[in-house]
Amino acid sequence: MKYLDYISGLFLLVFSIVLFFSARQLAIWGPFGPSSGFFPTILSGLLGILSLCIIARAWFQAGGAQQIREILVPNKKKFASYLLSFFAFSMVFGTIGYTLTLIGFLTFILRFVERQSWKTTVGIIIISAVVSHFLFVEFLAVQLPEGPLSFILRRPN
Amino acid sequence: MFDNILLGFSISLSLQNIFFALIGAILGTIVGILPGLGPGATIALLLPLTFKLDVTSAIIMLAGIYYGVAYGGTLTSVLMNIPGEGCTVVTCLDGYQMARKGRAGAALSIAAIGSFVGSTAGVVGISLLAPPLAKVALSFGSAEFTSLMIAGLTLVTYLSSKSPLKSIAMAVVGLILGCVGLDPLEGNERFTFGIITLLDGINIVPLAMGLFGIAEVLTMVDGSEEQQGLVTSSVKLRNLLPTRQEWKDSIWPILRATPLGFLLGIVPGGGANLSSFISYGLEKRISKHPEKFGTGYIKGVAGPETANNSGTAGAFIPLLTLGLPFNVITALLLAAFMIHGVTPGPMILEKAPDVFWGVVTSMYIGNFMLLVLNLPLISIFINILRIPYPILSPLVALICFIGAFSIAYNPADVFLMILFGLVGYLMRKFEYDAAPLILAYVLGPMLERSLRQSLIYSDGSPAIFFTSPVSAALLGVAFLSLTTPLFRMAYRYLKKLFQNRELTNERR
Repeated sequence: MKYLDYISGLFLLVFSIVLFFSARQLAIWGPFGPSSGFFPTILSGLLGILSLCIIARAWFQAGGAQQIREILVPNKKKFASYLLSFFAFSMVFGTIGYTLTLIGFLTFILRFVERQSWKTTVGIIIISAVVSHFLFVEFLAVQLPEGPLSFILRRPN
Repeated sequence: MFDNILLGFSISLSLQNIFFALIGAILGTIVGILPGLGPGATIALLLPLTFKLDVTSAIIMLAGIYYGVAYGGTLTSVLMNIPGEGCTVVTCLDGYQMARKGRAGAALSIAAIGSFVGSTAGVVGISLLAPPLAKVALSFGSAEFTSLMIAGLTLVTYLSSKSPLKSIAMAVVGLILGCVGLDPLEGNERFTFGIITLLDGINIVPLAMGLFGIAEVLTMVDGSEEQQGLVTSSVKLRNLLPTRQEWKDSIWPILRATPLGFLLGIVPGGGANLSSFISYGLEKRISKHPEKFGTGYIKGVAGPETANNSGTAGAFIPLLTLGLPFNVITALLLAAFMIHGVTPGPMILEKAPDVFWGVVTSMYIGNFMLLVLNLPLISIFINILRIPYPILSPLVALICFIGAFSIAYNPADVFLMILFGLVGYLMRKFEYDAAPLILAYVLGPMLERSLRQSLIYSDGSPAIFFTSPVSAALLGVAFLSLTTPLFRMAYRYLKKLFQNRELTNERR
């Protein structure tokens, strides 16, 4: 059995079932023809059929449990650090502002995860902050969240 | 015709218009490089700035942004696996793999030249074929459009270097993601699960940047691949140029993609995105070595890059000759025309020939400028690949964060992008391709609308798709696309079976 396809097929099957029942809450056919639930119901049904095909094919294909070991992340700590810092960025970005988030994010990743020197870390932070400010805020008028450092990010009128 | 083209050049070659074409081309390239801030947002931002300009200069600059974007988007697709725009998503598949093999310069050179050929031929097409082709495009009803979308989607089986079954499953997931938000016809909520942010649907930018950009960063850091800069040695000019074989391999895809992209650009909903995907599918379909696609094959760059630029040019035909915008950007250009008191449509050639031919001929100049700007800069851009992964990966993530945020100034889009990044990472591990998902996501809302409209017109009868010859022919293409791999599989199986039997008989 090809475990990776079997697992992914099962996941898609569950996903399609959830979507099918969600789509069934909408009307499929209205007085003038197909309604809101028409397309999603067809699609979730089709995904269910395709996932069953993937599961069936995986069942008859060669492969073993070692496949799962092959895809496991060798560098779990680093991977988790990056992923958590991404989510943290998205959560605090709107509150504490772009510049502070950038400083925190790059310091954490470059200094503590990637073990770069303080000199490199600070240099990259300064270049990133200045370049992104001029490119996005000044030139392209992107309104990045300001936070406490609003006096730096605010565009001159 | 010749007089009109001369009139156009006399207008577009004025110093003022050359300047605005250059500004538009540069802005377009920058916008294409930066993910998130698309041509639509940039044109919308710059629209008020054009109030003081005359109409021809204003449209020349805004049109320059539109076709410059496709050039710029290629750079990040090839160098960082981040599609700056939807039309350069497919370039990631082979362009980035070429970069990994040290052939980024060749990929970018072929892309720039293919783009130039595609867009210049597209502009010639506008000059010669605009009025008759616009009539053909108008004859496409909802049934023909539905069949065209279905035929386009079936080509996803050729987008993937992996399993066609998984590709179709991913295409269905893409169509489902396209349903998220408010129903386009009745306004009912679908698949929002009570999350307010999802009411507007999922934007292509967080989706594409998550599945490609963030997933790439996560793959860089997970330790399963060697973490080095993509370019470790000094970049020499000969490494930047395509080899003789790469030139040879690129000529036919470029020549095929030029008319294909242009024709798809004219069709409602076609444009650069669909053109690039279909060109890739076509090249893979007819190639003697389909297995090379997705591994850094120049044909996978040459075709789509040409098609997306000729498609961009083709999209101007319905706008200029019928006054019908078929995508957001041409809708904004229509607004720019109207702000300046010019109504594009069948009468523009009579009422404002200077504007029509001035804009059309400025595109020749703009495309030449883009080629001149882009080719010498390749050696500079390629230095991005010299940055070691530990430094490049957080910077790539940072660009993605700003890009996702800048669409609607909503941090939830950044969160969504990271989620899609994780999904994209898992898809790579489980050997699922993201490209079919993105294509289906782009086509999904248009497909649903036209499918439902067709069924409403026909009182629910699916016969409407078979009574029109164009629609029936397109469905035939779709059927063949889906069944050919099955027939091939059956043929291979039977061949093996007969060979085994013969061997057994011989042994006896």
